Amino acid sequence: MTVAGQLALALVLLMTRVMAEDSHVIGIEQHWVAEPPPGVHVTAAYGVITCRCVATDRLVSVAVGGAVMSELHATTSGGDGIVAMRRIDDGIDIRPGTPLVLEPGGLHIMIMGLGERPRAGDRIPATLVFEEAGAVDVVFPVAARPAAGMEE
Amino acid sequence: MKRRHLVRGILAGLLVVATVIGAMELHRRQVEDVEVAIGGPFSMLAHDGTRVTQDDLTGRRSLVFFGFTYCPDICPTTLVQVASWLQAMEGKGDLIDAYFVTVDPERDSPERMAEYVSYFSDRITGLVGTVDELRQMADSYRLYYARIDLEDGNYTMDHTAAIYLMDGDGTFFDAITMTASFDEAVAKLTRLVEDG
Ligand SMILES: [Cu+2]
Repeated sequence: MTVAGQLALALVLLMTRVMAEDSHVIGIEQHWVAEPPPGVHVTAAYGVITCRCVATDRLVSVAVGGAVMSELHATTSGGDGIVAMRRIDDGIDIRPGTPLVLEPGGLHIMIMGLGERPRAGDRIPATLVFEEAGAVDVVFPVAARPAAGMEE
Repeated sequence: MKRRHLVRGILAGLLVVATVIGAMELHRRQVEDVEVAIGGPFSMLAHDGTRVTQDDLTGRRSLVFFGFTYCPDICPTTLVQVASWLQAMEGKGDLIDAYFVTVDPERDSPERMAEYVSYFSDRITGLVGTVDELRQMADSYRLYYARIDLEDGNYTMDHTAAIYLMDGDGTFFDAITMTASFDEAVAKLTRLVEDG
């Protein structure tokens, strides 16, 4: 093989590797941690997670800086008007093209055992672990819950 | 021999079906019952140390809802919403007394409630009862609450999430559910002030 040929092959191999890595990208937007009221050592994190990917991925666990424990949770309400919050043990699927929405009153990252009370404006580092994408580091800004509640 | 088994099997199956239908009917009646009779006697300690009873609802308009301070998601969301509704009503909102009642008296003291509700609004009063007082209010308000133990030794509470609007006689006027929009909620509260 000529030098030019070898170079071309190397380039193709490199491109293929870059494209393979690029074909499975986790993104997170509109992410925030709710400022807890005084004296409260639990709170929740929210956000919209997208997977630019071909195959379904799964968010399996979360670690939040400064917290003793962080878990994936769901708040559910039945037709009887009773609300319940439960831990999600086997992770949450993220399908290509369908954003995973973590929002007040629904899916959330539950943060427990916070040492110091986070205040609006603080930034909290966290690691989201996905089955395929592996560990993804994210920094969550802390914000007071918006005045209109669940609406924009 | 085989046929006898078949007959027994069918009878057992029918019994199961009848039991399920019976249970569903009973549940349906209970749910209907919930909708007709909400409200009644209660006596609880407000977060400022005063006592609030059913009599205090008379001549006022009230908004009653339930939760607990260790609740990280739905309770603070609701408190922020209630605060924003009352604020949006401006002067009319002053006619409404808002009560946030803890379903977790084991962990929520009046002092803790004071600190918690003040974070959201000065228009919301936290109410704490003894286990018996909470039981009485739960009976009056057809409130469901249950302690759910978590693996780590902590616990959470399942509870009725509706917000009850009580009229000037202290009787049930309307309810705002979790799914209500901001405008729907403010409209209901306005109706409560005008017609309740
Ligand atoms: Cu939770």
